[in-house]
Amino acid sequence: MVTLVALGVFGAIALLGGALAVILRDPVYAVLSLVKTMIGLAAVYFILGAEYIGAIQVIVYAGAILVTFLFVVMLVNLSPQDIPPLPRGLSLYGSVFLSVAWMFILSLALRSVLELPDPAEVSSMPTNEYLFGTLPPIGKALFTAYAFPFELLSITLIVGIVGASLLVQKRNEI
Amino acid sequence: MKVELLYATLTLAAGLFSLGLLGLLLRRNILLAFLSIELMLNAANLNFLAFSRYHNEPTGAIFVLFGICLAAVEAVIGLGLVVRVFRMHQDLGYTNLTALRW
Repeated sequence: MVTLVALGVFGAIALLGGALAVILRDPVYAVLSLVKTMIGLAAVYFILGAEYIGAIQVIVYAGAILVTFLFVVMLVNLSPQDIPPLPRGLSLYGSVFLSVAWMFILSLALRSVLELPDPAEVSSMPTNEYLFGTLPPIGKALFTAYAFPFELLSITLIVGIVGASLLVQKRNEI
Repeated sequence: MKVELLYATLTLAAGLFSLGLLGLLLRRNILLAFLSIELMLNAANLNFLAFSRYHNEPTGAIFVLFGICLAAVEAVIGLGLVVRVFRMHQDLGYTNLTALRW
């Protein structure tokens, strides 16, 4: 029960940050409220027992990716006057209707989740409840079963670095 | 109890995804639309972790780890494109990006 209440509190923080990121006109404030969403989500990950992913979420998402966003906002000198206000009329109502209808469809589909069996009754394997998201099982799976995708990921990172540095330099410097 | 936790987490992820969809439809600016895509990516990550918790398996957490790394790469490439577009047009609205239209 405590778990559910904590999930609700931090989930509400994350949802509020997301809503502000969608609505706010100042891009710096929008990015900062998305940082709030990421930190709320990291707390949700901790509640779910995935401590390692929660720490990675704070370090990589809130610390690196969104700071890069902020850096670009300041690099292109984006001020609130450059941002067009939210559209009015049919465009606004259509977008709100689409996303609310999508949420409605998803919540109808999620009803079927409640009929799933409790996995503790199904599997007889005695697993420690709070161990699955900590570093030992993740590291074990990462370097045995998923070693090849892990190496591919490092190639992807190098491709990203080289591609980004080629993209942003001036044409006559190449 | 675990099923209720799974249900609550999936509902939260659905709400975050719908918010991201709303932002993507409403914003007329490349950078802020990109911000909404990040929100949708995080909703997908939350789904992986919810089922990972439900089955007590670390595999979902590994998928989330890969997803976060790919999101970092995607953010770097996308923001490079944003800087490039800004140099071309001095503006980040995507209604005037018509170079590939014929």
